[in-house]
Amino acid sequence: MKEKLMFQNAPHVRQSESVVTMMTDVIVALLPIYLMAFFYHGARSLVLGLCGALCCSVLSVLGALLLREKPVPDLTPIITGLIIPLLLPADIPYYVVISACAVAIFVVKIPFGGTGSNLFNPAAVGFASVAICWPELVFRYPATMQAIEIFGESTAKIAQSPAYSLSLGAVPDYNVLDMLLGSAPGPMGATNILVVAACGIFLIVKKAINWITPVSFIVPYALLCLLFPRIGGSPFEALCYELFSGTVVFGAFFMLTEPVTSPKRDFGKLMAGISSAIVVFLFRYFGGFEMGFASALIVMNVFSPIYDAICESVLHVSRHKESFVASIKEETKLRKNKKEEEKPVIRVIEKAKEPEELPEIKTEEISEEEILPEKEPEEIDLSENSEEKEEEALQL
Amino acid sequence: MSFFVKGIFLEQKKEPMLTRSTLVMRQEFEYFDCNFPDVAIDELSREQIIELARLAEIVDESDGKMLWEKLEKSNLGEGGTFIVDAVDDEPYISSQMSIGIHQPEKLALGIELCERVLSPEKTYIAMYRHILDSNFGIPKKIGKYHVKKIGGRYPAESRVHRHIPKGKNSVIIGACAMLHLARAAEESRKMTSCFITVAGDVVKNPRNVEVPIGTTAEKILELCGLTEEPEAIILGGSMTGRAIFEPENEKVGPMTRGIIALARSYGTYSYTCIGCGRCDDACPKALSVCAMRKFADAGKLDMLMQYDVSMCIGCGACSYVCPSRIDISATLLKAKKQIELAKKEGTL
Amino acid sequence: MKSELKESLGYIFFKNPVLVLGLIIGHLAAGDTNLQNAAALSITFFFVTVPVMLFASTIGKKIPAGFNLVCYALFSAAMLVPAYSLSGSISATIFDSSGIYPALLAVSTVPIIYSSKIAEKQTPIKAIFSGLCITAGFIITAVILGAAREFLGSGSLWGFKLADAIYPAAKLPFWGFILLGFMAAIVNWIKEIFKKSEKGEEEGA
Repeated sequence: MKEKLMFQNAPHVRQSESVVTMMTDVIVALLPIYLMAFFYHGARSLVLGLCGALCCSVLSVLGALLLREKPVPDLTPIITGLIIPLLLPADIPYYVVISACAVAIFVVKIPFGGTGSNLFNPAAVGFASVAICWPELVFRYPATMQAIEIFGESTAKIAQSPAYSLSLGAVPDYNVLDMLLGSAPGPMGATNILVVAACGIFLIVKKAINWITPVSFIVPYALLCLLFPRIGGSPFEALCYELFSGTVVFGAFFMLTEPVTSPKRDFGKLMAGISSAIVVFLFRYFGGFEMGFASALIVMNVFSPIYDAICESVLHVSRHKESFVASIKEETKLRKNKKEEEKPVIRVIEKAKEPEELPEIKTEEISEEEILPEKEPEEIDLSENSEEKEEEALQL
Repeated sequence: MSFFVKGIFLEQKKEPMLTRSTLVMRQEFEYFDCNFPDVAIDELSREQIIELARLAEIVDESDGKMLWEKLEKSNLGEGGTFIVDAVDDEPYISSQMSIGIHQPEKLALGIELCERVLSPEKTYIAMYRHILDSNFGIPKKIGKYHVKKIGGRYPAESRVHRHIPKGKNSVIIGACAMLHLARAAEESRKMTSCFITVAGDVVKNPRNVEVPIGTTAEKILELCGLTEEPEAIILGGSMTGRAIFEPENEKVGPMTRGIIALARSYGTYSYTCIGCGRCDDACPKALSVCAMRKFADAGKLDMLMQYDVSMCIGCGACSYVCPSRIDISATLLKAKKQIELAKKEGTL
Repeated sequence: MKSELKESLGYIFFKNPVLVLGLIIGHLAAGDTNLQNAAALSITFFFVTVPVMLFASTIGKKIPAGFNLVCYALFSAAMLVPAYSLSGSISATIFDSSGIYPALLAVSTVPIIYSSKIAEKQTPIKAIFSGLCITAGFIITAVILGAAREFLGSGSLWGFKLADAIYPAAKLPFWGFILLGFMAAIVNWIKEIFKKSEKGEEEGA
């Protein structure tokens, strides 16, 4: 019996959910989007996705070897590699995808310490870098329902995307149903809103992502679009065009919710969602690029540690509420006393009462002390546990 | 998912230990007499009950203090609440609850005796309600005492305090101590045994057992039988206990709640923290666990102090939810210990 | 004496003014997009640093404390004139085509303060020597960065077309910063290897 025994720290039961299951959920959720892209653009979209995933995983293994670490069977680079092609048009040359993946892994991820330490969303930075480098390729979308050659120069017909027409202030040529189903031209994975939203809801149900982030992003964004429409016509139609064009919905479910770069607490996530809605709206309203989401996301990533710090400071005050309240009370009392001292002549009689007040305060203090023993059992439980743990450590 | 409610839901896995009656392990000597003068139970006075608890050497299993000291110290009086702790919110563990269910008369007698000493305004027994994986019904009353069902997420034991009106006194005493007090009064018997849950996926006959204090873990496991060699044996609760290597040398004490034998240890992952923030959501004390773990790894004790690591109760909820299987709870408790040491030495 | 020499020589690589001390990152990231710009920046840096260090080591001590920085800045600004004429003798347009950045070098106070602080403690000859070393360190960085960005961005070196453009975005300041970061990482990596080997030697001895 003894030989097999292993050391493990408490708690001895763990959740069955792990990083692997979370990441597999995300990959599974990305597959239907690829299927839709295959339906609209042919096999090239699938090859692009494979190329991205392979490229990212190979590069991250290379990076780990460069840092002389043992490569971990990590699924996060595959997700990054699958997301990047979905933000690009289906007829994009392969070298664009590869360079985006290289930037995502070698510039954003590995120099900062690999998975879990990156400051920015790798997919967003990878996409933004190629958008700056080859804007004429990245923002030129092929019309849907035509197969694109898997290799070589694409001869597909080019169409104007709704996001571009919106940035010009024109009403897109497509009706709302087209945009919901994804038959409007645009980024390979972000046009079929219904499928993207369904996959996002799947992720929320599987608890791979938190519902607060996408909801707190989409609702304020929709409100802003209702308040400041870029095109004429009914505000509802304008709202639909704004929401369904570009990468807003896809980004809200798949990029904004990336665990590493988003705030940790629910309240922080709420704040981050609202603020990034505002920034994305401003980027799209005033910006030159027709796709402001990635750039806005990079900007907002910087703020997520700040949101965490804000949450922590609020919680810190709430944890030490009693002592804070006591100190404030003391201060106000001191001030009152000072004020009374400043008007000495009139309040002689009131001053005489002060000694009576003092014992009252004392009784309060005593009662607080009496409460303290109640909390003792909990604390003692703890110390014993930790003693046990120290013994373990000593044994080791 | 949780803005305000913190903690975690656990699979309780209390069956079949809870419904089975307690198995008593034979002692070599039947039991010790505590040499208390023969007085009828109804006529025992306050001082006599305290003396009885002292002679019977009863230890409160919920905090490890001597019962008589606790009784002597506290006099609740008006507005005071007396809580009998039978919460058992950790998975597998059900030793306190089973006393309330299988020996209610004795428990009620013990509580009555304690009530005579403490003279509280309100008395209730606290039990954990959310045993979702079995349809076991918790009784509404044990004897004449009301059972308060503590619900909600895992560290429920810390939530017992919430039911006490503010500014009023209260005493929490474990259920096993009550039972031992009743035995001392009825049979003049010393506390020589403790109640332990033996469970786990490789235990042949999982149930609550009453064993003499000082029995080795190996013997207890032999009593209940093993179907296969375990990879981990845990002394204590499944959330806060410790893994043991030498079951033939590890003895149970009055504080031990259970022995759990698991076929597989949960294993370690080579993943780093991905910053999902689930630990922050799970923490019942609303601490910033994710940030604190990073500080603890970097050895920044001053930052840890700012983040209130001293408030950590070591419940292990953060380690439970961590998808990367990082030992967050152990890291933080170690850091807490370091800070306490540094404070004592005056280096911080 | 030897240690001083070693310290001065260290400015070429191990205490590289750009990559290790992080002094003139912005100018290089934004302005150093090809080899010609690198040449203009290097010439300007030479004319700004070496005379200022000589000036600081000789007259600098006699100037009252509040005024010396102003004097150095004025002196280095005056030194732009010979820098301009010299770069004009190499190629007529390189100084003008590299924009505002060479001129900005003359009034960027951080490197001036740093180099003059070094120089004030040294004799004129040593000051000139360490100034040359700092300049060498700068030139190495600027030339490598400029060449890499020119080749990646437009596929040419010193204006001569060698290949097609590989990565046009390399000319953006964003990529300047990233490449500088990578170069700094490599320098630090080599430094660590040297430190380890030195430690090993000491332990062996």
